[in-house]
Amino acid sequence: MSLFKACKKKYNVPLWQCPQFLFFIMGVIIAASTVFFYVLGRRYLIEPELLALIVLLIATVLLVIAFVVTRSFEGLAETNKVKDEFINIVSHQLRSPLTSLRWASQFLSKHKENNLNPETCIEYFDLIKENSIRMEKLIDDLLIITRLNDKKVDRKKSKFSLSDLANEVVKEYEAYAGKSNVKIKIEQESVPNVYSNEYLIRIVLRNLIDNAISYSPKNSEVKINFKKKGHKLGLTITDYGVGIPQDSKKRIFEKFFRAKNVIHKKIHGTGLGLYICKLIMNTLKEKIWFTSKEGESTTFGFSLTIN
Amino acid sequence: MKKILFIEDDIAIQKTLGEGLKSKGYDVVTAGDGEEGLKLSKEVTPDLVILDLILPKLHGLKVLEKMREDELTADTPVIILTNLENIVEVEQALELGATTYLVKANYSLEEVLIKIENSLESQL
Repeated sequence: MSLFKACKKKYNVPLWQCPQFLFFIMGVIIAASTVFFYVLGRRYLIEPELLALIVLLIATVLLVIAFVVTRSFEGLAETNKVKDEFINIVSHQLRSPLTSLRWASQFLSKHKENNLNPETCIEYFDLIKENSIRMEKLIDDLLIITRLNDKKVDRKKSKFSLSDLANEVVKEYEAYAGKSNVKIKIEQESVPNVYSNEYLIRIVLRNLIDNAISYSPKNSEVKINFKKKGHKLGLTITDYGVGIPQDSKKRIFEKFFRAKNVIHKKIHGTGLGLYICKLIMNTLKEKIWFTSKEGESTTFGFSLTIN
Repeated sequence: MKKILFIEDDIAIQKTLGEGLKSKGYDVVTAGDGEEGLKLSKEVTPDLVILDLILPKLHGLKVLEKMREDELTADTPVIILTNLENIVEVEQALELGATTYLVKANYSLEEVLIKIENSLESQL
């Protein structure tokens, strides 16, 4: 019964396709055939023990081969399950803003003759706008992940100023930060140029700055600093917000993972931003890291090769 | 007036369906997370609970499980309204005694309102 439950829970496949069950059945058949041949040999041969021993040896070899086959099957089933889960999460994440869009517009069109007051109309239009942005962000994230995984992104490196790029991205986010009274302080000392992919680093910076603002409390600061170490230039982004709980640290770069405390605080996010950052830094063969204390601060940093 | 507890964290869904139900004459109480929803299910003793599954603080299935454990809410009809279409969740929800399992994306706002109305009428 527990085997049946494990098969359903772990692989979501019927019992006859479950690796452990098949392995168990194989073991039973081998044990039974060994006994059968022993009985048979005892009746018709002078040394039945020798026959049984040979059968047992062959059976052991078969069992080892079967074990290897089942393990690889297990791996396939696991991959399949991860894929199913991924499709399930993606479809849920895409459907949610779509449903909100559809229902909000249906509500507006149904009540258009009832002379809805302007405030209510604005509220619903804002909901439509927010959900369109949410969906656009999710689609953008999924597209960049697919292109990175399929190696369809231009990974050419060139010389550029990380400081100028960071200043540009900060400007993009000034209005968003202003809404929550979050001040972004960027170190303005001159730093050497780096040799990397500007397009991809822009995506990393956007994700990290967006997160830093989103998880910051009102009237707080986000600090961006540079540090040269050997032939590398590091950039760190620090916020003084919710922080990352200890038990979430290991999983923070996983696809669709969101720490419990940000879910509790109802901070919106796709759960893909940090996964994309990690994927990009792996693609560029550079490092990304973080330090954090829950309820105090979080610092994300990455380093690039100096030109 | 029939009382409906609507446990949903998506503001847009909460507003549109909530307003739709109010316009049909129901008394609607809303909760934005699982813990608040569970607490309200005991405080307001609703005639019907509309429950999302992916919720902050407490998953929808946990809310349903805890409701079933409590004498006060053990028999309260619950409609699951979610965008999760996984057979595992559907089976778990129905095993825990959910009245209906609705996938939001498969219905228009009006269709969901009709389904909720029908569910409340069938209790009479």
